[in-house]
Amino acid sequence: MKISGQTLFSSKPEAAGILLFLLLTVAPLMAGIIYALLYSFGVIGLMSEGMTLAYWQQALGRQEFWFSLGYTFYIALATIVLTITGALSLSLFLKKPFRQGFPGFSLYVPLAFPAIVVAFLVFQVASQSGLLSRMLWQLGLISDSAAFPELVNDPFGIGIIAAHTFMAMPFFTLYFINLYDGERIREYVRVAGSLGASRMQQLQRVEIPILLRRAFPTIILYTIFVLGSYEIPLILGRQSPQMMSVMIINKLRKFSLSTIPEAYVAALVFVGIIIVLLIIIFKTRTFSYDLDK
Amino acid sequence: MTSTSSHLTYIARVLAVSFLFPVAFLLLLSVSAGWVFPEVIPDGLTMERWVRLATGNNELFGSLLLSLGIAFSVATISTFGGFFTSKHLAYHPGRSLWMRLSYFPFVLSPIIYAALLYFYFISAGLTGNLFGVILGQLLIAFPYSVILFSGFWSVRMQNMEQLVQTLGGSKWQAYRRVLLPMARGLILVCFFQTFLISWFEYGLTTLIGVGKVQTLTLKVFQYINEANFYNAALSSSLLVLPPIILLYFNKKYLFKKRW
Repeated sequence: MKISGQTLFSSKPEAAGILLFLLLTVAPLMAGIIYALLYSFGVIGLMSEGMTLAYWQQALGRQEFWFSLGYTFYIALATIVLTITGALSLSLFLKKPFRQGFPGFSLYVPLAFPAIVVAFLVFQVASQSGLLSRMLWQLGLISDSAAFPELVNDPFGIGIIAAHTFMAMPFFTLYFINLYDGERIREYVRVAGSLGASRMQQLQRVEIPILLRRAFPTIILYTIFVLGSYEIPLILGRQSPQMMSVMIINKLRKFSLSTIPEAYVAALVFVGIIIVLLIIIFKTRTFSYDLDK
Repeated sequence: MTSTSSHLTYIARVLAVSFLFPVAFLLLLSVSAGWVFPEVIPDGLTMERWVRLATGNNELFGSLLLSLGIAFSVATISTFGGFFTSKHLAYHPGRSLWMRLSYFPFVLSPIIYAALLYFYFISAGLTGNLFGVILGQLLIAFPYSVILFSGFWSVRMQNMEQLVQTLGGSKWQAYRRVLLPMARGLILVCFFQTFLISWFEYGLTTLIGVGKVQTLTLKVFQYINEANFYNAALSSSLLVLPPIILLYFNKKYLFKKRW
């Protein structure tokens, strides 16, 4: 009798499935990171002169890099704080009207907008010659377009934050409304009420903590999405400071070859940040691989 | 109490109008004959751009077909590839590791992922052409599909498959008669979600396509750069239209984490 040894895969279809996964998911990711590492250490590339830390020192020594990193986090955190505050307010105070009819349908509409279209819309509405500025001019509140405050291509990223918030708030409102029903929060609220909790205590001690704890992995995932956004800051941002993705691509596309290793350094730092954030998500108790849960 | 309730309904309706306003604004801008500062309404309306698009006399028509073709290919390959692969990953002892790995390309910024892979695409002659763009988008849509289907492959599904085989059915029959019909709803959701991932994609497409694969999102950006806001609005309307149609049929096709 032949005793077969343990194999890595139990069947040919399983081997094919996992091979397809490795080819389309793991291999490109690893290959991309390895290439960027080699380029950033000067091992490969058109200007390669052998292994060096010079590009890392050069990139990390630039104020532009740290401004860009700080600006990217500022945009992501401002967006998330505004989004979550708005979505919690809508889902807790307006959940009844938003569950049905025209308001219920309207919440889904912003989900149909790609980022580039949202950026275009914000530009059309909030720029100095945009719709808001025109309305103020017609009302006699401003005398020319230059008198309208800079809301796009501005130093504080107001346009970028507004565009991201427009995209995210309806999604999180729907998400919180679904969680509210799924987590049976109404029953907990009723119990808290019967034990003497005021409406404010029910909100602060029961509803908001449960919703935020359940939504934590999704909130971090959305933060990652905003950190890496490209189209919105490309259209609504300015030359300096730039969000990380815009800065990296600008450095890669410059005619000067010397900025390419710096672009890969910045890309690797960004990938490192994403890895840390993903590890935080994976360690969260409420995280599920299943996107339906 | 009634007054508070009607007050809240009123606020909800005002907010609902603000969520729908962008659709109306885009459509209005796309049919504007002229709309310059400081006018708050267009000088006049014209259907000329839409008529030229419908008759194929517009470069946007080609971009529309191209975007549809790319999105359809990406959605089909990633949905069925993901369905097949996720089964083997879900029942594999190393499931947890595979699933964690599949999150990385899916959440990483597409343009930064494209920048990391750009060298390989150039080496393989895949930049500036359709196949390169489809492959690039698959690298994001496929892991998403794997994640989405991972929840489907439960012990119950395994038992069902074993039952079919116990009753004399082949593996193919188990797929055709049991697994695929049971997963039909999820397959549809996955197809539309991956379709939208491709349909909405800009960064990776512009880098891998080197601007030569002119999808609708690239056209929007081109028109914004040229300050041709009417055509930008027309191409934006085309981008928004399919998801709104999906929304009409089923809301769940749109409401999923897609980033």
